[in-house]
Amino acid sequence: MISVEVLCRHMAWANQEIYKEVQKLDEEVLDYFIIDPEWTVKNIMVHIVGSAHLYGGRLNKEPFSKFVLENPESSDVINELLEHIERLDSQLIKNANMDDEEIVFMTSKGERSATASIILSQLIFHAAEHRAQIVAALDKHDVRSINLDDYDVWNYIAKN
Amino acid sequence: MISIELLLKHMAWANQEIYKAVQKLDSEVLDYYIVDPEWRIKRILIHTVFASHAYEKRLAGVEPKVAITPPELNNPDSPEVIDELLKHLERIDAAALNYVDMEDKDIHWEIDGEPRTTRASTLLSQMIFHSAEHRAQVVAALDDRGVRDINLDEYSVWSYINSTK
Repeated sequence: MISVEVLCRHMAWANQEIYKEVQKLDEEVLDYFIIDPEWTVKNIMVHIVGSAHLYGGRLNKEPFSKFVLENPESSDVINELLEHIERLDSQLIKNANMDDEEIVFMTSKGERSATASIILSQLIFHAAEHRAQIVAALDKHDVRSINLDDYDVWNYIAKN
Repeated sequence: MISIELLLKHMAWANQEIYKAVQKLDSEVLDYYIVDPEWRIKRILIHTVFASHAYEKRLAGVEPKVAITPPELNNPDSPEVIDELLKHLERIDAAALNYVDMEDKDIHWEIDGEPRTTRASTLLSQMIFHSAEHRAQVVAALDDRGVRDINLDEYSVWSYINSTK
């Protein structure tokens, strides 16, 4: 059977690479957005990590805990996000080998359940989609230093 | 072990849904792009199909010593091209699902006489990732021009699961 492990490992690598590339840019890019000012580059970056925290907690049957950043308004926020996402993605790679069991978790609307494959698949897809949106927001402002083609699965395999 | 099957099924569903949603819009949107006029929406839609076609052919081991010929499009310059792309995607994405239960073996082929080897898991993973990334770019190009009809949140894995109930 072909598993999601390559996609998990690719996600972990691409998250680190894209966040580090954004970190190299002028700080003002964190406020760029495509059309909805709620979805700035920074908010998308925080959202990816916050979602990994939430989904990862569910996969590992941990009680709900709010994702909190120590310095959300500081320019150091990307360092903080990089540390969180490295820790979360490392665990998610291990989750690729878990049984596809039904997992019960609490939401704001009460108790819900989903299989591990649904949670992990959503997490992988979600991060890929939002990384593309980050780069699209940069492209819109003609910041072209990040080429998404450099962060595909081929490149992950070639560099690892 | 978590199978790649769900992500392949989601890809097939999301490809159909997003292409059909684009089809409902004015055909002028096919020329929208964010910053690079080479990558207009129509070009991205075609590119995604051609790439998936090539990945699936490599998995199938079809003519490994020659370049993959892209699927023929009868109306590449017409808005009707989306109908053709939808049919190709339906066929390709269904075929990709056949590889879910295979052993993760090496696949061999050649590019210009140069041997290449890739794991089946790499090909399937790239296919899924590539489609997802380009669907997001299509919607970003629409958003950039104020066309907000397609909300990507409605095409998540959660939404796919709900659509099957």
